[in-house]
Amino acid sequence: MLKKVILAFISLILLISVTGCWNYSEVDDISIVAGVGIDKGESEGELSVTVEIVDTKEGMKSSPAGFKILTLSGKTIFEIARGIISITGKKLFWSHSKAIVLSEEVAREGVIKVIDWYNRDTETRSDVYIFVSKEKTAKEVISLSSVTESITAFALAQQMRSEKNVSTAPVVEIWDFIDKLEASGEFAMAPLIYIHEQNKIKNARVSGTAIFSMDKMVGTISGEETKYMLFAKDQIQGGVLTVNDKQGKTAFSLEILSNKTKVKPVWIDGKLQMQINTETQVGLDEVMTPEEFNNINSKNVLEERAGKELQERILSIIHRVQKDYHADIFGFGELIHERMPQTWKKVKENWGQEFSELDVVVNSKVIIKSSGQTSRSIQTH
Amino acid sequence: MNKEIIPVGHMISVTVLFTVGTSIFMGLPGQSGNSKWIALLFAMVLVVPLILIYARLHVLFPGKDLFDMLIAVYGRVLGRMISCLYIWYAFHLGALALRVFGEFSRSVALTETPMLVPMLCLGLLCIWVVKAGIEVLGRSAKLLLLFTIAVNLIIFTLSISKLEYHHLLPLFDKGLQSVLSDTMGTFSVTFAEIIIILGAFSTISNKAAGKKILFGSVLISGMIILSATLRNLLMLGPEVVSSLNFPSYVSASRINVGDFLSRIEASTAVVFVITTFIKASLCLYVASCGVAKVFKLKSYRSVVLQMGLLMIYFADFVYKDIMEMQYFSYHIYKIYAFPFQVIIPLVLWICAEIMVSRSKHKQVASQQ
Repeated sequence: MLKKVILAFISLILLISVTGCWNYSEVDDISIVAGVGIDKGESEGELSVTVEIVDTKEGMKSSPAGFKILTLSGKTIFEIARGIISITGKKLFWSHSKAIVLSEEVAREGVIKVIDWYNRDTETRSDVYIFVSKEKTAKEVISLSSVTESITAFALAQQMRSEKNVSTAPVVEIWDFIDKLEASGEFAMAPLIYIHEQNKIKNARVSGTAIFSMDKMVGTISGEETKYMLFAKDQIQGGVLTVNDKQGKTAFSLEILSNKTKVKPVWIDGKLQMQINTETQVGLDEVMTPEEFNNINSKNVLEERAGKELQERILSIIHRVQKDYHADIFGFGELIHERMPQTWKKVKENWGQEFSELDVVVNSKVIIKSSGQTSRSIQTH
Repeated sequence: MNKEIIPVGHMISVTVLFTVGTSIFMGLPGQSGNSKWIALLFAMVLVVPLILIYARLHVLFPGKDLFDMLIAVYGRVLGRMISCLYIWYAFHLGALALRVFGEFSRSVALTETPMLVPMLCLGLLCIWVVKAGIEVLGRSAKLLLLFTIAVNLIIFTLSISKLEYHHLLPLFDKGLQSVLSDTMGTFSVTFAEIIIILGAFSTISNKAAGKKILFGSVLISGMIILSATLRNLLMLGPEVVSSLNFPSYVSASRINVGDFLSRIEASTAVVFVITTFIKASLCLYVASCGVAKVFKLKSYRSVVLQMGLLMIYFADFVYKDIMEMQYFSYHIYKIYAFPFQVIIPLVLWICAEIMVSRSKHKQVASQQ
């Protein structure tokens, strides 16, 4: 009898443990955030956050899921993140968000105040892509509808994954960005995002780079310049290299197959010099002129000219960043720190200035590996 | 008191998991930035003389544990007083391990669950296994060690593509002094805690096995911690690692193999649960044994539940928050633990040597 009573008692106690999860929530109690845009708020010192929310209701009807845009202003990002619940009635679910777009204004004022929450909080994941909007606000970018995907932020993420075929914008996840902010001798950067308008249909286009000095944006470089900047950073994986013909008109397209860049700091005549050597394997993909590509010899001439042009372009973008922005996005400082710790101790205090006076030498080599399906240019008779 | 005996392999597994403990997730003290791993190697070298002392103590007092040794050498009163210090040390250490687990689940995994709940779950498991006896702990440790090594290897392999070897340069970036300071820190939070194992040495039958167990486990646990430290360092870079509370968790979250194998960090937390479980259980076992020895109880089992519940409750209020926890374990712990880990064992060893040689002398004299 006693045994039965005890058993019954234990069973009752066991009931406590089957009451379910502590903080159990159904999928329809949360709103899934796809992307975030951060602008300055209307009043001074305020921020305005725009979230793109996946519309799960529409998704049920087997049509592609739609999205909804919500904007709220507040003093801190987290305050807004929670405040949005007062509009949606549902708690936001952040870990599926793919893109965070900062307006240029916010970026120029300093980004630490807007990205710390994203990196610190456990509801978010720090592997979202970060962008700077070249348009007036981040809101208008995040509210666009996209060509390929129904949700802009997911389309942006897709663009970043395919970016290695274009190489006109750096691919930066938020942790990488913070990494660069913290590392001594390296400056952060983020891709720029535009609105590309065509037949009154607006699309987001990613091209170019925003350059940061400390946590403040100081300037931009174009998509074309970004490509050569990536060459100097050894981050190029693909893309197109155009080469001029003898007259100086663009006539050849080379597809970048692979690239290896070696950067070496050396002392020459008591002056620090960065030696950049690039070796690029390319395939010839387009010849826009009937002349100049007929035999093996013309291949060598083309290789040489391509190397020389690449060299000049890389050098010119380095000089531009040195002159205009004093921001070492190439990570030269980090290299000096690693290879010459003693020298670094002397220059690190004033690295921005030292960087802009740094002597840089570029040496590029282009190797044409293939010429596609045809072996010569189209001949006219 | 019935005698429990466990094989050498089991004891090594327990010691390895105990030594790896919380450092596999918390990371090591990190003033030296990218030279942390050198500090770890230094700490492994530094612990060798200490191990020799511990092993020698085992040879001098075969089949006895730390508390027996203390009582035998210092006499009934003083020996018991020092035993009480060690009971406190084991009890506190177990509570700290539980607390690290609690902080981990509160700040990362189960953010809305009160911290006591996961600690209670793990703590009750510890109580159960200790009540079941050290043989059970040994057997489970052997299985769990294989699992731990396997998970570590898998994570390391998956993260190879994300390792950036240039983070290792320049060596000794922050100066030799910070490396030495980290060496002391690493020494005290990992290897030197092996003193607790001495409290379970009565379970080894073989007199010569002490050295083998201690060296083997320092080597294996050193490799495990080294692989985790290097992985975190090369993946995240020294600056980021220094800002994170749980670097291993974050580095696992960066793993992304072909957009398919990603977000696996929660699975890696299993390893953390394993090491914390073994560490807290062993601490609980040693503390209970100590209480049993000091108060001449028939069996340590009668106090396990009480000690365990107290340990869980203590873990709940031992720190106010995670910042305090980090400050204590990186800055204060090395000073606090030094007497327990080095000074008292050293004095114990010297006294024991004198005592043994005297008694040999007496034996020789009485024989003549």
